[in-house]
Amino acid sequence: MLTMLALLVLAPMAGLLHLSALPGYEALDLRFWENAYLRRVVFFSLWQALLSTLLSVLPAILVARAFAMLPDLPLRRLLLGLFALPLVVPAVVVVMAVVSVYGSDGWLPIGRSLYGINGILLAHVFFNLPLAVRLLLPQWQAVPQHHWQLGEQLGMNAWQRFRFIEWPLLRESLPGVLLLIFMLCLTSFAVVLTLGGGPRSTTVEVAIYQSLRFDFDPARAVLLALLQLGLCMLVAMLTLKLQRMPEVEIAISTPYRRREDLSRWFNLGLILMATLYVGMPLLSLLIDALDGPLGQALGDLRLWQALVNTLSIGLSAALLSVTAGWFLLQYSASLAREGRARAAKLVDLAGSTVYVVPPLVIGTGMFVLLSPHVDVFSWVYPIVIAVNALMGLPFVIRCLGPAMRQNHARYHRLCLGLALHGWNRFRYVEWPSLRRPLGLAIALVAVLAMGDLGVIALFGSTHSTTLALMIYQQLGAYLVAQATVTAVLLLLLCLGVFALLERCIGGRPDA
Amino acid sequence: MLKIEGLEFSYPSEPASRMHFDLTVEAGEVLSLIGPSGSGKSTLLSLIAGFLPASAGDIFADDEPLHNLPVAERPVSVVFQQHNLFPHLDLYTNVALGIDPSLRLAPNQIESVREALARLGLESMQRRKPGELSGGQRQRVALARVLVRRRKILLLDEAFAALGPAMRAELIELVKTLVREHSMTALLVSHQPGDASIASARTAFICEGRVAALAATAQLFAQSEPPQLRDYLGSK
Repeated sequence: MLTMLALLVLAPMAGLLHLSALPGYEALDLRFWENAYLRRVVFFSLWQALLSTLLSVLPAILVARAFAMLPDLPLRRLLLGLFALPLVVPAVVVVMAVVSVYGSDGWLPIGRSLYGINGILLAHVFFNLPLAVRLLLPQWQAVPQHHWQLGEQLGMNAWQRFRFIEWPLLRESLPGVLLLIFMLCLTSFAVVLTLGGGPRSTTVEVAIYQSLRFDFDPARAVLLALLQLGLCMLVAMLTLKLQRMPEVEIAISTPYRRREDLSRWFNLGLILMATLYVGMPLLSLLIDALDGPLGQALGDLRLWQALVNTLSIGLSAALLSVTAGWFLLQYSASLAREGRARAAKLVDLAGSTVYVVPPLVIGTGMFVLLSPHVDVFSWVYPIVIAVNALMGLPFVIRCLGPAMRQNHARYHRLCLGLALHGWNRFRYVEWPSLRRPLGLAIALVAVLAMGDLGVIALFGSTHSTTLALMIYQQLGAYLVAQATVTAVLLLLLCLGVFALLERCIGGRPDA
Repeated sequence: MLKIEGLEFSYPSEPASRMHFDLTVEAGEVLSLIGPSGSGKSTLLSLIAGFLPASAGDIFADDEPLHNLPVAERPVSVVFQQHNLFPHLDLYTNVALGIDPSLRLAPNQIESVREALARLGLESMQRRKPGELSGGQRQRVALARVLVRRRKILLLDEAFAALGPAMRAELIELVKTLVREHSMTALLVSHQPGDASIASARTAFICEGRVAALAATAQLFAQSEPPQLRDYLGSK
């Protein structure tokens, strides 16, 4: 399994390198710093990622704190559920939602300056502020009840409470959260592709796409891929070093009851603003879709074909990803059993850090490797499925890993003693405790694959398209109204598939 | 002196099980509270400290009403079973917070922190963090903070439950000495009847949200009423 993983990741890179060495292609030149275009692209990648991170995480600290200070807030669970939505909303749908609010015909138009760094930041904050809130909120919930009581008794004011009680816990997880969001923004593709607006706002990821799709310069694509890989590896290593990453939960438990007086309205205001920021674009998109050419759009057979393709890719990628993740984790568990803890950790790491390799590069590399042997365009969907399955692996490991390790620690010896293995072990021992994280993993990977624009943008066409690609194509043809309808359809499909898979596989939350 | 009159409280999730407390504890006394889990012992302490709002009744400390005061203004110090100290702060700072949470201390206040730590045998460990101490030492630091706060009422909520018998006895004796020296009024919640025997001349048995029995400690342990007391002590 590890070998296959390495092959899937490294072979495409090798394929691109080989292609760039062929006559007719520009040779690979690693001295990127001497190229003004590459320097600009790298600088912009880092700059927009840094700005996006700061604009997402700093307000998220205040919003998470506001939620923690208002445990009795009405509709609290609903609001926190809303903050989970961006996890499952496809990037290209978010783009449409952002345009819907901040575009020239939107509720808060910012005109042409939407396309460029402004639009990119708006979309990134939409994704990452709620994520940061959900990652940081548990830190307040980890504060022992007695510390809050002590703080009250000692007469601490709000600043002193933050300094002595809240900040010590927050500072442990903050670097990990910052780095995670920085990485997500650095590798962002669909948002930058659609809202970037031009060469001035090109990141490394988009530049790879442009090199392959428009310039067909594999050498430049490889160089950019290596740059991206280098940047991502650096961030990944920093993250591991500072690792105290809180798990992303779907269910947030009820926090300790504190009494907060004067700042109650301030906290309410913060939560309201954050809710509007997240909810307004989606609401606006829905309204625009209902106002748009619904009949015409829904009567287009290509839309339904794209829907079927989207669903097939999503479900297939999820199944493949979860199967691969399962075997990887089983292998990691067996290594740990043999006392090879370091090797076990490396295996987990391999699965978790595969996302540092740009999916575009993997997809194109596969294309290059396979094209001498098969009709590659008839292999578009398998390639897209394979790449998305690979990209979903870190989520599978994050969801399933802890539960599997716990299950293994608790029951492995008992199963050995009872000679319980294979299907029976899975059915009676593993399935009951693993079905919830399994359901979450499958649902997450499915919607991520369904909403992906990366690899399909390289190879797709009007004949072989998904809903995400269709939105991009409609935007490119200035069919904004149709794109809005398609975006809402994709959104509803993702939400429906997520809820269905999580419930059907994961079971009821209180079961 | 601590006086509790008709103090009432019920948890929102259990409105039917209303608690009702009447109690008087003299200055210089350590009153032990024993009873089964969930009987309301810790709830009573939380009501006195102000962590929970009573629905009715009064609390007086030396005839001064407490029940309408915010937590910080009540003359109360609490020592919990754990989480009494902030783990990222050294011992000196943990104790100094008891004087002023802004940590801007006058020279005499700085000296009183040092004296309190010395009184509890911790003067050489001022710069250590709580994680470097044993459980008993951590509870001593909490008591040092109680000393510098100079509050009239001391509440100990299973403060010594995690310690071994010898350490428990030592710290209970220390509490008795501090309470006597500073004319404090103390309530000690414990699951160990032995702690009550060491700590208190009087012990209250809390059951189903009420003071079901209150007597001299030895007498309480010998009596057979109420039946819940008998069941709790496991006596025949």
